[in-house]
Amino acid sequence: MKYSAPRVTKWVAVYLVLALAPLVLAVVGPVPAPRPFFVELGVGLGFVGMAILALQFVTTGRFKSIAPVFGADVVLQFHRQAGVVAFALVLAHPAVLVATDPNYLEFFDPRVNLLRAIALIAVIPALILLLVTSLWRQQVGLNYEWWRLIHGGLSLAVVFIGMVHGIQVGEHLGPIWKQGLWAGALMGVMYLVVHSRVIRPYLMKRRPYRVAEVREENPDTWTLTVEPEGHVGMRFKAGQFAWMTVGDSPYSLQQHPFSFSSSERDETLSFTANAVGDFTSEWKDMEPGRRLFLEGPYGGFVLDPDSEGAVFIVGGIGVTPAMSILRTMRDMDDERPVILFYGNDSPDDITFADELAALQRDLNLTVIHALGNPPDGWTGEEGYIDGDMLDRRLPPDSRNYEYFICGPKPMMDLTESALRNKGISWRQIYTERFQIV
Amino acid sequence: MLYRDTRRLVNAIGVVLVVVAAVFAALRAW
Repeated sequence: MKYSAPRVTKWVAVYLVLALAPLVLAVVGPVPAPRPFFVELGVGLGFVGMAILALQFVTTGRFKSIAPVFGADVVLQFHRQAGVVAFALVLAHPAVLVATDPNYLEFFDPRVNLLRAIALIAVIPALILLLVTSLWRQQVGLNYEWWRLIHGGLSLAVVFIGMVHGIQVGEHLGPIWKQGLWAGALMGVMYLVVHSRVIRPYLMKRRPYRVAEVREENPDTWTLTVEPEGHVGMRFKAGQFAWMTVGDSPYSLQQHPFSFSSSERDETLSFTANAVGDFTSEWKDMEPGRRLFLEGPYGGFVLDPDSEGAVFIVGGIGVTPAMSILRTMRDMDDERPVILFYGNDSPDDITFADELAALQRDLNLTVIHALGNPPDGWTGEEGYIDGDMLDRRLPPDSRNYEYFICGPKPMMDLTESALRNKGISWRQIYTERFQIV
Repeated sequence: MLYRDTRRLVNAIGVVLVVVAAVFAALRAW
């Protein structure tokens, strides 16, 4: 699943066309009388800001036609950064207008129009809340489920108010056909929300899974094996992930992404996680037979069949997608060279230590353990995996391999930059960051 | 693709959109 520049360019072009569509709509057909530059600039910023906000409902990483082009992880990074840009553009809209002509403050005056004033004033704290809770969710102590509810609700409210505001002002949307197109875009956004929160869970409800086994890998790390209940299950590519909802209903806010740790060839599906969060710490108490729902598979963290070899740079539980790929390679007698850099704090923290040792015999695999807190007598690598370690340990013929990075943020930042500085192309590097919010 | 690339891509798209909005404003004010 190699990234390709033409495909990335195509999707970026589609995005730009859609983001600019409101401006194009404003200048075609009958147009109103000219107004000062800064008034129209304020309006233009509002239009593109609204377009990006509406497009945020598409870049949620759950569209299977888009995600493989970039990787679901990159789509979510795009979503996150685009949210910051939209925040700036949408707030610049009233700021530029009011700075140009203070009469525009009338839009916030409840004496002129109470409902309009309430809606437009409410958008400002809503946008700030959206930004703060998304960029600093853990710092503000918001749990993931509440964040999802707040994020979905506020986003929809802001887009709804913004688009209704556009029609109400009507300066550039005079003709009924322009209003129709604008309203159509709003309905499209609302459909995406209904699809995500109603239709998709409905489809999942018809394909339940049940827990087959819960296994302790090492203290605080558990593997959950699940099997389909009355259907054929899910085909995934090693390295991908699925969203999991535990319980009898898929209509739940509680939904978390987990990489498959099992081989593509296994009859059952396995996931491995650290019991650190509220959700994963419940895994160890799960009884076989417990119902759950899976949505997926997603993600482009997948080894290309034509690739010459692979380098995995993983830390802690970030080993799970690599484990799925290695187990699949074993099952398929894949003899391509693989190098696994695996960072942990101490030897006791190494998940799958015995199986990795066995895989080194079955595959053309080199495992390089790096410990943050090595015991006396440790002769392996120490400290974070960084550019120096990669320089020392990567063989010269690894330049054409594919690189897979998954682990704690500091390790990912260090190694991503190090690989780029070594001249490795972005097309060869895959990352997986689940802790996006 | 990388986190760093993605941020740059989105920021570049943001700049393009602001420039086009300014062109739009110039055309409308003309």
